[in-house]
Amino acid sequence: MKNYEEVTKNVFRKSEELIARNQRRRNTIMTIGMSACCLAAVCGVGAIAWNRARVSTVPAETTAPAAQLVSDDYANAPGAGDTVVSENSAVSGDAVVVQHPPIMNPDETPIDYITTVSGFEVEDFDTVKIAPDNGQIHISKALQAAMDKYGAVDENGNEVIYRVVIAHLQNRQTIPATEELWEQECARLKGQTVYGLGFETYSCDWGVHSEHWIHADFTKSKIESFTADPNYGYVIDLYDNYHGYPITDPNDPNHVCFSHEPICSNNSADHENIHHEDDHGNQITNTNNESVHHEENHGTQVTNPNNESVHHNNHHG
Amino acid sequence: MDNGVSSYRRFLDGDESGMAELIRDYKDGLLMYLLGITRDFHTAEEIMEDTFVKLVVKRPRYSEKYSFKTWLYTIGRNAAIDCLRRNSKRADSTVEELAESLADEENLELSYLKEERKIALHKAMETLNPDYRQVLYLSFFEDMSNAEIAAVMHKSKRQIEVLIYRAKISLKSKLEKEGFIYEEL
Repeated sequence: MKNYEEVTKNVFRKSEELIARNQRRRNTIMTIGMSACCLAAVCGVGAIAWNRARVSTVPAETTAPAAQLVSDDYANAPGAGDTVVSENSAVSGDAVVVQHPPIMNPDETPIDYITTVSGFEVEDFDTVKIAPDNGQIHISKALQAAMDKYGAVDENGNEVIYRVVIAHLQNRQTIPATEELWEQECARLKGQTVYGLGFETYSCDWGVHSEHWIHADFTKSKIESFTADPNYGYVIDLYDNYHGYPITDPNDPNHVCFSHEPICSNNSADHENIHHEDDHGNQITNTNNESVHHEENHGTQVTNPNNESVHHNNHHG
Repeated sequence: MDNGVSSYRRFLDGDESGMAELIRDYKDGLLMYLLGITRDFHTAEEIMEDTFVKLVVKRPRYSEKYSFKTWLYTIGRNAAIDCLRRNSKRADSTVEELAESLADEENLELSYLKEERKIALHKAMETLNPDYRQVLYLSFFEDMSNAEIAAVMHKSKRQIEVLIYRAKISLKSKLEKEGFIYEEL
Protein backbone atom coordinates (compact mmCIF):
# COMPACT_ATOMS: atom_id res chain seq x y z
CA MET A 1 0.00 0.00 0.00
CA LYS A 2 1.38 3.37 -1.02
CA ASN A 3 1.91 5.91 1.70
CA TYR A 4 0.90 9.54 1.54
CA GLU A 5 4.22 10.81 0.18
CA GLU A 6 4.26 8.24 -2.61
CA VAL A 7 0.70 9.04 -3.63
CA THR A 8 1.40 12.78 -3.62
CA LYS A 9 4.51 12.25 -5.72
CA ASN A 10 2.59 10.04 -8.15
CA VAL A 11 -0.27 12.51 -8.43
CA PHE A 12 2.02 15.40 -9.31
CA ARG A 13 4.11 13.26 -11.69
CA LYS A 14 1.01 11.98 -13.52
CA SER A 15 -0.43 15.49 -13.64
CA GLU A 16 2.73 16.90 -15.17
CA GLU A 17 2.77 14.11 -17.76
CA LEU A 18 -0.87 14.70 -18.58
CA ILE A 19 -0.44 18.44 -18.85
CA ALA A 20 2.60 17.96 -21.11
CA ARG A 21 0.67 15.48 -23.27
CA ASN A 22 -2.28 17.84 -23.53
CA GLN A 23 0.07 20.65 -24.48
CA ARG A 24 1.63 18.51 -27.22
CA ARG A 25 -1.83 17.63 -28.52
CA ARG A 26 -2.83 21.27 -28.48
CA ASN A 27 0.32 22.22 -30.38
CA THR A 28 -0.33 19.51 -32.96
CA ILE A 29 -3.90 20.66 -33.43
CA MET A 30 -2.75 24.28 -33.71
CA THR A 31 -0.14 23.30 -36.31
CA ILE A 32 -2.67 21.33 -38.34
CA GLY A 33 -5.22 24.12 -38.01
CA MET A 34 -2.78 26.79 -39.07
CA SER A 35 -1.62 24.68 -42.01
CA ALA A 36 -5.22 24.21 -43.07
CA CYS A 37 -5.85 27.94 -42.75
CA CYS A 38 -2.75 28.72 -44.80
CA LEU A 39 -3.79 26.23 -47.43
CA ALA A 40 -7.29 27.68 -47.54
CA ALA A 41 -5.87 31.19 -47.82
CA VAL A 42 -3.58 30.14 -50.66
CA CYS A 43 -6.50 28.45 -52.43
CA GLY A 44 -8.65 31.54 -51.92
CA VAL A 45 -6.00 33.86 -53.31
CA GLY A 46 -5.48 31.46 -56.21
CA ALA A 47 -9.21 31.37 -56.97
CA ILE A 48 -9.46 35.17 -56.91
CA ALA A 49 -6.45 35.49 -59.15
CA TRP A 50 -7.89 32.92 -61.54
CA ASN A 51 -11.25 34.69 -61.63
CA ARG A 52 -9.56 38.02 -62.34
CA ALA A 53 -7.56 36.38 -65.10
CA ARG A 54 -10.82 35.04 -66.56
CA VAL A 55 -12.48 38.47 -66.37
CA SER A 56 -9.55 40.09 -68.07
CA THR A 57 -9.99 37.71 -71.06
CA VAL A 58 -13.64 38.77 -71.55
CA PRO A 59 -14.06 41.51 -74.18
CA ALA A 60 -14.26 44.96 -72.65
CA GLU A 61 -17.84 45.64 -73.81
CA THR A 62 -19.21 42.66 -71.89
CA THR A 63 -17.46 43.16 -68.59
CA ALA A 64 -20.29 44.83 -66.71
CA PRO A 65 -21.25 43.41 -64.34
CA ALA A 66 -18.10 41.32 -64.37
CA ALA A 67 -18.97 38.63 -61.84
CA GLN A 68 -22.34 37.92 -63.43
CA LEU A 69 -20.77 37.73 -66.84
CA VAL A 70 -18.13 35.33 -65.74
CA SER A 71 -20.71 33.09 -64.19
CA ASP A 72 -23.14 33.15 -67.09
CA ASP A 73 -20.40 33.03 -69.61
CA TYR A 74 -18.83 30.08 -67.93
CA ALA A 75 -22.03 28.08 -67.60
CA ASN A 76 -23.11 28.79 -71.16
CA ALA A 77 -19.71 28.52 -72.71
CA PRO A 78 -19.46 26.05 -75.53
CA GLY A 79 -18.23 22.76 -74.14
CA ALA A 80 -19.11 23.63 -70.56
CA GLY A 81 -20.26 20.28 -69.23
CA ASP A 82 -22.48 19.12 -66.42
CA THR A 83 -19.56 18.85 -64.10
CA VAL A 84 -18.80 22.52 -64.37
CA VAL A 85 -22.43 23.44 -63.90
CA SER A 86 -22.79 21.28 -60.83
CA GLU A 87 -19.61 22.68 -59.29
CA ASN A 88 -20.81 26.14 -60.07
CA SER A 89 -24.18 25.35 -58.50
CA ALA A 90 -22.79 24.83 -55.05
CA VAL A 91 -24.29 28.15 -53.98
CA SER A 92 -27.67 27.41 -55.48
CA GLY A 93 -27.44 23.92 -53.86
CA ASP A 94 -27.68 25.60 -50.47
CA ALA A 95 -30.78 27.40 -51.62
CA VAL A 96 -32.31 24.12 -52.71
CA VAL A 97 -31.66 22.66 -49.30
CA VAL A 98 -33.34 25.65 -47.70
CA GLN A 99 -36.28 25.27 -50.01
CA HIS A 100 -36.59 21.56 -49.26
CA PRO A 101 -39.89 20.70 -47.68
CA PRO A 102 -39.49 19.82 -43.98
CA ILE A 103 -38.95 16.18 -43.17
CA MET A 104 -42.25 14.42 -43.57
CA ASN A 105 -43.76 11.17 -42.51
CA PRO A 106 -43.59 8.44 -45.13
CA ASP A 107 -47.20 9.20 -46.06
CA GLU A 108 -46.24 12.88 -46.68
CA THR A 109 -48.19 14.14 -43.66
CA PRO A 110 -46.36 16.67 -41.46
CA ILE A 111 -44.73 15.30 -38.36
CA ASP A 112 -46.53 15.95 -35.10
CA TYR A 113 -44.78 16.10 -31.80
CA ILE A 114 -46.22 14.07 -29.00
CA THR A 115 -45.45 14.68 -25.37
CA THR A 116 -44.38 11.71 -23.33
CA VAL A 117 -44.18 12.07 -19.57
CA SER A 118 -42.02 9.47 -17.91
CA GLY A 119 -41.01 11.14 -14.66
CA PHE A 120 -42.45 13.65 -12.27
CA GLU A 121 -41.04 14.93 -9.01
CA VAL A 122 -43.50 15.54 -6.19
CA GLU A 123 -42.52 16.55 -2.69
CA ASP A 124 -44.64 14.01 -0.90
CA PHE A 125 -43.39 10.80 -2.44
CA ASP A 126 -45.13 7.64 -1.52
CA THR A 127 -41.90 5.77 -1.04
CA VAL A 128 -43.80 3.13 0.83
CA LYS A 129 -46.95 2.28 -1.00
CA ILE A 130 -50.00 0.45 0.14
CA ALA A 131 -50.09 -2.98 -1.38
CA PRO A 132 -53.27 -3.36 -3.43
CA ASP A 133 -55.42 -6.44 -3.11
CA ASN A 134 -55.94 -8.75 -6.05
CA GLY A 135 -58.04 -6.99 -8.64
CA GLN A 136 -57.12 -3.55 -7.29
CA ILE A 137 -54.95 -0.85 -8.82
CA HIS A 138 -52.73 1.64 -7.03
CA ILE A 139 -51.69 4.70 -9.03
CA SER A 140 -48.64 6.46 -7.62
CA LYS A 141 -48.89 10.04 -6.37
CA ALA A 142 -46.28 11.14 -8.90
CA LEU A 143 -48.24 9.66 -11.79
CA GLN A 144 -51.45 11.20 -10.50
CA ALA A 145 -49.74 14.57 -10.10
CA ALA A 146 -48.29 14.33 -13.61
CA MET A 147 -51.70 13.51 -15.04
CA ASP A 148 -53.20 16.43 -13.16
CA LYS A 149 -50.58 18.77 -14.59
CA TYR A 150 -50.29 17.54 -18.17
CA GLY A 151 -53.81 16.28 -18.61
CA ALA A 152 -55.00 14.24 -21.52
CA VAL A 153 -54.05 16.42 -24.50
CA ASP A 154 -50.98 18.56 -25.17
CA GLU A 155 -50.79 21.98 -26.83
CA ASN A 156 -50.63 20.35 -30.27
CA GLY A 157 -53.89 18.58 -29.67
CA ASN A 158 -52.19 15.20 -29.34
CA GLU A 159 -52.92 12.86 -26.49
CA VAL A 160 -50.19 13.02 -23.85
CA ILE A 161 -48.42 9.71 -23.39
CA TYR A 162 -47.53 8.56 -19.89
CA ARG A 163 -44.70 6.05 -19.82
CA VAL A 164 -45.35 3.82 -16.85
CA VAL A 165 -44.03 0.74 -15.10
CA ILE A 166 -46.56 -1.83 -14.01
CA ALA A 167 -45.73 -3.87 -10.92
CA HIS A 168 -47.76 -6.98 -10.26
CA LEU A 169 -48.71 -8.30 -6.84
CA GLN A 170 -50.52 -11.42 -5.78
CA ASN A 171 -52.15 -11.55 -2.37
CA ARG A 172 -50.35 -8.26 -1.60
CA GLN A 173 -46.98 -9.83 -2.33
CA THR A 174 -45.00 -8.58 -5.27
CA ILE A 175 -44.24 -11.12 -7.90
CA PRO A 176 -41.30 -10.90 -10.26
CA ALA A 177 -41.89 -9.61 -13.77
CA THR A 178 -41.29 -12.61 -15.99
CA GLU A 179 -41.54 -12.97 -19.71
CA GLU A 180 -44.53 -15.29 -19.24
CA LEU A 181 -46.33 -12.69 -17.15
CA TRP A 182 -45.54 -10.06 -19.74
CA GLU A 183 -46.91 -12.22 -22.57
CA GLN A 184 -50.00 -12.96 -20.54
CA GLU A 185 -50.55 -9.26 -19.84
CA CYS A 186 -49.79 -8.40 -23.48
CA ALA A 187 -52.64 -10.61 -24.55
CA ARG A 188 -54.96 -9.22 -21.90
CA LEU A 189 -54.02 -5.54 -22.29
CA LYS A 190 -53.72 -5.54 -26.04
CA GLY A 191 -56.72 -3.28 -26.47
CA GLN A 192 -55.59 -0.97 -23.68
CA THR A 193 -52.11 -0.10 -24.84
CA VAL A 194 -51.49 2.84 -27.08
CA TYR A 195 -47.97 2.37 -28.27
CA GLY A 196 -46.97 -0.87 -26.66
CA LEU A 197 -46.28 -2.90 -23.62
CA GLY A 198 -42.60 -3.42 -23.00
CA PHE A 199 -40.58 -6.00 -21.20
CA GLU A 200 -37.06 -5.02 -20.25
CA THR A 201 -34.19 -7.04 -18.97
CA TYR A 202 -31.50 -5.12 -17.18
CA SER A 203 -28.05 -6.36 -16.51
CA CYS A 204 -27.14 -5.05 -13.08
CA ASP A 205 -23.92 -4.78 -11.16
CA TRP A 206 -21.89 -5.28 -14.28
CA GLY A 207 -23.63 -8.48 -15.24
CA VAL A 208 -23.80 -10.10 -11.81
CA HIS A 209 -27.57 -10.37 -12.00
CA SER A 210 -30.49 -9.13 -14.05
CA GLU A 211 -33.97 -7.91 -13.36
CA HIS A 212 -37.10 -7.26 -15.36
CA TRP A 213 -39.68 -4.56 -15.70
CA ILE A 214 -42.98 -4.45 -17.49
CA HIS A 215 -43.75 -0.99 -18.80
CA ALA A 216 -46.30 0.61 -21.06
CA ASP A 217 -47.21 3.82 -22.83
CA PHE A 218 -50.66 4.87 -21.80
CA THR A 219 -52.87 7.87 -22.35
CA LYS A 220 -54.56 9.43 -19.33
CA SER A 221 -57.89 7.89 -20.18
CA LYS A 222 -56.28 4.45 -20.55
CA ILE A 223 -54.73 4.75 -17.10
CA GLU A 224 -58.00 5.84 -15.58
CA SER A 225 -59.89 3.05 -17.25
CA PHE A 226 -57.21 0.41 -16.68
CA THR A 227 -58.84 -2.84 -15.70
CA ALA A 228 -57.14 -5.24 -13.37
CA ASP A 229 -56.86 -8.95 -13.78
CA PRO A 230 -58.70 -10.30 -10.72
CA ASN A 231 -55.70 -12.50 -9.98
CA TYR A 232 -53.31 -9.58 -9.54
CA GLY A 233 -52.96 -6.33 -7.67
CA TYR A 234 -51.27 -3.54 -9.65
CA VAL A 235 -49.01 -0.63 -8.83
CA ILE A 236 -48.66 1.81 -11.71
CA ASP A 237 -45.94 4.41 -11.53
CA LEU A 238 -44.05 6.65 -13.92
CA TYR A 239 -41.16 4.94 -15.66
CA ASP A 240 -38.42 7.23 -14.38
CA ASN A 241 -39.89 7.38 -10.90
CA TYR A 242 -40.06 3.66 -10.47
CA HIS A 243 -37.09 2.29 -8.59
CA GLY A 244 -38.54 -0.65 -6.80
CA TYR A 245 -40.17 0.91 -3.77
CA PRO A 246 -40.96 -1.20 -0.78
CA ILE A 247 -44.67 -1.91 -0.67
CA THR A 248 -46.37 -2.41 2.65
CA ASP A 249 -49.24 -4.65 3.50
CA PRO A 250 -51.73 -2.51 5.45
CA ASN A 251 -52.89 -5.54 7.43
CA ASP A 252 -49.42 -6.26 8.65
CA PRO A 253 -47.48 -3.09 9.48
CA ASN A 254 -44.35 -5.06 10.21
CA HIS A 255 -44.36 -6.72 6.88
CA VAL A 256 -42.72 -5.12 3.90
CA CYS A 257 -42.54 -6.72 0.52
CA PHE A 258 -40.46 -5.41 -2.32
CA SER A 259 -41.61 -4.59 -5.76
CA HIS A 260 -38.47 -6.16 -7.09
CA GLU A 261 -35.14 -7.25 -5.78
CA PRO A 262 -32.36 -6.33 -6.10
CA ILE A 263 -32.54 -2.66 -6.95
CA CYS A 264 -30.91 -1.38 -10.08
CA SER A 265 -30.93 2.09 -11.52
CA ASN A 266 -30.61 3.40 -15.03
CA ASN A 267 -27.35 5.20 -14.53
CA SER A 268 -25.46 2.31 -13.02
CA ALA A 269 -26.79 -0.52 -15.09
CA ASP A 270 -26.22 -1.50 -18.66
CA HIS A 271 -29.41 -2.51 -20.33
CA GLU A 272 -28.83 -5.84 -21.90
CA ASN A 273 -31.83 -6.60 -24.03
CA ILE A 274 -34.79 -4.39 -24.37
CA HIS A 275 -37.87 -5.71 -26.06
CA HIS A 276 -40.60 -3.40 -27.05
CA GLU A 277 -43.77 -4.30 -28.77
CA ASP A 278 -45.26 -1.73 -31.05
CA ASP A 279 -48.92 -1.09 -31.59
CA HIS A 280 -49.03 -3.66 -34.33
CA GLY A 281 -47.72 -6.36 -32.07
CA ASN A 282 -44.31 -6.37 -33.72
CA GLN A 283 -41.45 -6.75 -31.33
CA ILE A 284 -38.61 -4.31 -31.59
CA THR A 285 -35.40 -5.41 -29.95
CA ASN A 286 -32.66 -3.05 -29.02
CA THR A 287 -29.41 -4.00 -27.37
CA ASN A 288 -27.09 -2.17 -25.05
CA ASN A 289 -28.91 1.10 -25.14
CA GLU A 290 -29.54 3.10 -22.03
CA SER A 291 -32.25 5.36 -23.36
CA VAL A 292 -33.91 3.09 -25.84
CA HIS A 293 -37.43 4.19 -25.14
CA HIS A 294 -36.52 7.73 -26.03
CA GLU A 295 -34.40 7.04 -29.08
CA GLU A 296 -36.87 4.62 -30.49
CA ASN A 297 -39.19 7.54 -30.95
CA HIS A 298 -36.39 9.93 -31.91
CA GLY A 299 -37.24 11.92 -28.84
CA THR A 300 -35.32 14.61 -27.07
CA GLN A 301 -35.59 14.91 -23.36
CA VAL A 302 -36.62 18.20 -21.91
CA THR A 303 -36.12 18.66 -18.21
CA ASN A 304 -38.04 21.42 -16.60
CA PRO A 305 -37.18 23.19 -13.32
CA ASN A 306 -39.31 20.73 -11.40
CA ASN A 307 -36.98 17.99 -12.53
CA GLU A 308 -39.68 16.24 -14.44
CA SER A 309 -38.82 14.10 -17.40
CA VAL A 310 -40.89 15.14 -20.33
CA HIS A 311 -40.15 13.82 -23.78
CA HIS A 312 -41.20 15.46 -26.97
CA ASN A 313 -41.10 12.74 -29.52
CA ASN A 314 -41.57 12.70 -33.22
CA HIS A 315 -44.70 10.84 -33.90
CA HIS A 316 -44.65 9.28 -37.33
CA GLY A 317 -48.22 9.68 -38.29
CA MET B 1 -8.82 19.41 8.81
CA ASP B 2 -11.33 22.05 7.59
CA ASN B 3 -13.26 19.80 5.22
CA GLY B 4 -10.71 20.38 2.49
CA VAL B 5 -12.20 23.54 1.04
CA SER B 6 -9.46 25.91 2.15
CA SER B 7 -6.75 23.44 1.12
CA TYR B 8 -8.28 23.19 -2.33
CA ARG B 9 -8.59 26.98 -2.59
CA ARG B 10 -4.93 27.34 -1.62
CA PHE B 11 -4.02 24.85 -4.30
CA LEU B 12 -6.04 26.77 -6.90
CA ASP B 13 -4.15 29.89 -5.82
CA GLY B 14 -0.89 28.16 -6.68
CA ASP B 15 0.11 26.56 -3.39
CA GLU B 16 0.88 22.91 -4.10
CA SER B 17 0.92 22.04 -0.42
CA GLY B 18 -2.86 22.49 -0.50
CA MET B 19 -3.18 19.47 -2.76
CA ALA B 20 -0.70 17.51 -0.64
CA GLU B 21 -2.93 18.16 2.37
CA LEU B 22 -6.00 16.99 0.49
CA ILE B 23 -4.23 13.79 -0.48
CA ARG B 24 -3.12 13.23 3.10
CA ASP B 25 -6.60 13.79 4.51
CA TYR B 26 -8.76 12.05 1.96
CA LYS B 27 -6.74 9.35 0.24
CA ASP B 28 -7.56 6.49 2.62
CA GLY B 29 -11.28 7.17 2.81
CA LEU B 30 -11.56 7.61 -0.93
CA LEU B 31 -9.53 4.46 -1.50
CA MET B 32 -11.77 2.50 0.82
CA TYR B 33 -14.84 3.77 -0.98
CA LEU B 34 -13.42 2.99 -4.41
CA LEU B 35 -12.46 -0.46 -3.20
CA GLY B 36 -16.15 -1.05 -2.59
CA ILE B 37 -16.82 -0.31 -6.26
CA THR B 38 -13.89 -2.02 -7.92
CA ARG B 39 -13.21 -4.85 -5.46
CA ASP B 40 -9.61 -4.70 -6.58
CA PHE B 41 -7.12 -2.90 -4.40
CA HIS B 42 -4.64 -1.87 -7.05
CA THR B 43 -7.35 -0.65 -9.44
CA ALA B 44 -8.90 1.33 -6.60
CA GLU B 45 -5.50 2.82 -5.78
CA GLU B 46 -4.99 3.84 -9.41
CA ILE B 47 -8.42 5.46 -9.54
CA MET B 48 -7.79 7.23 -6.26
CA GLU B 49 -4.62 8.75 -7.71
CA ASP B 50 -6.41 9.61 -10.95
CA THR B 51 -9.11 11.41 -8.98
CA PHE B 52 -6.51 13.73 -7.48
CA VAL B 53 -4.82 14.06 -10.87
CA LYS B 54 -8.12 15.34 -12.24
CA LEU B 55 -8.17 18.02 -9.57
CA VAL B 56 -4.61 19.04 -10.40
CA VAL B 57 -5.00 19.07 -14.17
CA LYS B 58 -8.56 20.23 -14.70
CA ARG B 59 -8.87 22.35 -11.56
CA PRO B 60 -12.64 21.99 -11.47
CA ARG B 61 -14.64 24.54 -9.56
CA TYR B 62 -15.86 23.24 -6.23
CA SER B 63 -19.59 23.55 -5.75
CA GLU B 64 -20.43 24.51 -2.20
CA LYS B 65 -23.76 22.76 -2.40
CA TYR B 66 -22.23 19.73 -0.73
CA SER B 67 -19.20 19.12 1.41
CA PHE B 68 -15.81 18.86 -0.21
CA LYS B 69 -15.70 15.16 0.62
CA THR B 70 -19.01 14.54 -1.16
CA TRP B 71 -17.73 16.38 -4.19
CA LEU B 72 -14.43 14.51 -4.19
CA TYR B 73 -16.13 11.12 -3.81
CA THR B 74 -18.44 11.98 -6.70
CA ILE B 75 -15.45 12.64 -8.92
CA GLY B 76 -13.88 9.41 -7.68
CA ARG B 77 -17.00 7.39 -8.38
CA ASN B 78 -17.24 8.76 -11.91
CA ALA B 79 -13.60 7.91 -12.49
CA ALA B 80 -14.21 4.38 -11.16
CA ILE B 81 -17.16 3.80 -13.45
CA ASP B 82 -15.18 5.10 -16.44
CA CYS B 83 -12.34 2.81 -15.52
CA LEU B 84 -14.60 -0.22 -15.11
CA ARG B 85 -16.20 0.45 -18.47
CA ARG B 86 -12.80 0.77 -20.12
CA ASN B 87 -11.36 -2.30 -18.47
CA SER B 88 -14.33 -4.60 -18.60
CA LYS B 89 -11.98 -7.40 -19.62
CA ARG B 90 -9.31 -7.16 -17.03
CA ALA B 91 -6.28 -9.38 -17.04
CA ASP B 92 -6.17 -12.06 -14.38
CA SER B 93 -3.96 -11.35 -11.40
CA THR B 94 -1.29 -13.72 -10.24
CA VAL B 95 -1.55 -15.41 -6.86
CA GLU B 96 1.22 -13.17 -5.53
CA GLU B 97 -0.57 -10.03 -6.68
CA LEU B 98 -3.81 -11.21 -5.10
CA ALA B 99 -2.05 -11.96 -1.82
CA GLU B 100 -0.42 -8.53 -1.91
CA SER B 101 -3.80 -6.90 -2.60
CA LEU B 102 -5.39 -8.68 0.33
CA ALA B 103 -2.58 -7.63 2.65
CA ASP B 104 -2.85 -4.03 1.43
CA GLU B 105 -6.59 -4.10 1.97
CA GLU B 106 -6.15 -5.32 5.53
CA ASN B 107 -3.55 -2.63 6.20
CA LEU B 108 -5.93 0.00 4.89
CA GLU B 109 -8.76 -1.29 7.06
CA LEU B 110 -6.49 -1.22 10.10
CA SER B 111 -5.17 2.26 9.43
CA TYR B 112 -8.44 3.88 8.37
CA LEU B 113 -11.19 2.11 10.25
CA LYS B 114 -9.08 1.41 13.34
CA GLU B 115 -11.87 -0.15 15.43
CA GLU B 116 -12.18 -3.92 15.30
CA ARG B 117 -15.95 -3.71 15.25
CA LYS B 118 -15.87 -1.48 12.18
CA ILE B 119 -13.36 -3.75 10.47
CA ALA B 120 -15.61 -6.77 11.03
CA LEU B 121 -18.55 -4.85 9.63
CA HIS B 122 -16.55 -3.76 6.61
CA LYS B 123 -15.50 -7.33 5.94
CA ALA B 124 -19.10 -8.51 6.12
CA MET B 125 -20.04 -5.87 3.56
CA GLU B 126 -17.63 -7.32 1.02
CA THR B 127 -20.13 -9.96 -0.04
CA LEU B 128 -22.91 -7.47 -0.71
CA ASN B 129 -23.61 -6.12 -4.18
CA PRO B 130 -21.68 -2.96 -5.20
CA ASP B 131 -24.56 -0.52 -4.66
CA TYR B 132 -25.24 -1.88 -1.18
CA ARG B 133 -21.56 -1.72 -0.30
CA GLN B 134 -21.31 1.85 -1.46
CA VAL B 135 -24.34 3.19 0.42
CA LEU B 136 -23.43 1.40 3.61
CA TYR B 137 -19.82 2.52 3.42
CA LEU B 138 -20.77 6.16 2.86
CA SER B 139 -23.41 6.01 5.57
CA PHE B 140 -21.58 4.02 8.26
CA PHE B 141 -17.97 4.95 7.75
CA GLU B 142 -18.08 8.39 6.16
CA ASP B 143 -21.15 9.61 8.08
CA MET B 144 -22.65 11.13 4.98
CA SER B 145 -26.30 12.17 4.95
CA ASN B 146 -28.72 10.58 2.52
CA ALA B 147 -28.63 13.74 0.42
CA GLU B 148 -24.84 13.59 0.22
CA ILE B 149 -24.86 9.89 -0.65
CA ALA B 150 -27.45 10.62 -3.32
CA ALA B 151 -25.15 13.26 -4.80
CA VAL B 152 -22.15 10.92 -4.81
CA MET B 153 -24.04 8.01 -6.33
CA HIS B 154 -26.13 10.04 -8.79
CA LYS B 155 -29.35 8.72 -7.37
CA SER B 156 -32.37 10.37 -5.82
CA LYS B 157 -32.67 10.66 -2.07
CA ARG B 158 -35.58 8.32 -2.25
CA GLN B 159 -33.54 5.69 -4.04
CA ILE B 160 -30.84 6.01 -1.41
CA GLU B 161 -33.36 5.49 1.38
CA VAL B 162 -34.57 2.33 -0.31
CA LEU B 163 -31.04 1.16 -1.02
CA ILE B 164 -29.95 1.67 2.59
CA TYR B 165 -33.02 -0.10 3.85
CA ARG B 166 -32.38 -3.10 1.66
CA ALA B 167 -28.65 -3.10 2.20
CA LYS B 168 -29.16 -3.18 5.95
CA ILE B 169 -31.55 -6.11 5.69
CA SER B 170 -29.12 -7.95 3.45
CA LEU B 171 -26.17 -7.21 5.72
CA LYS B 172 -28.09 -8.11 8.83
CA SER B 173 -29.02 -11.49 7.45
CA LYS B 174 -25.42 -12.14 6.46
CA LEU B 175 -24.17 -11.15 9.90
CA GLU B 176 -26.80 -13.25 11.64
CA LYS B 177 -25.82 -16.27 9.60
CA GLU B 178 -22.30 -15.82 10.90
CA GLY B 179 -23.52 -15.37 14.46
CA PHE B 180 -22.98 -11.61 14.79
CA ILE B 181 -25.41 -9.05 16.08
CA TYR B 182 -24.91 -5.44 15.10
CA GLU B 183 -27.23 -3.20 17.04
CA GLU B 184 -27.08 -0.32 14.55
CA LEU B 185 -28.71 -2.38 11.81
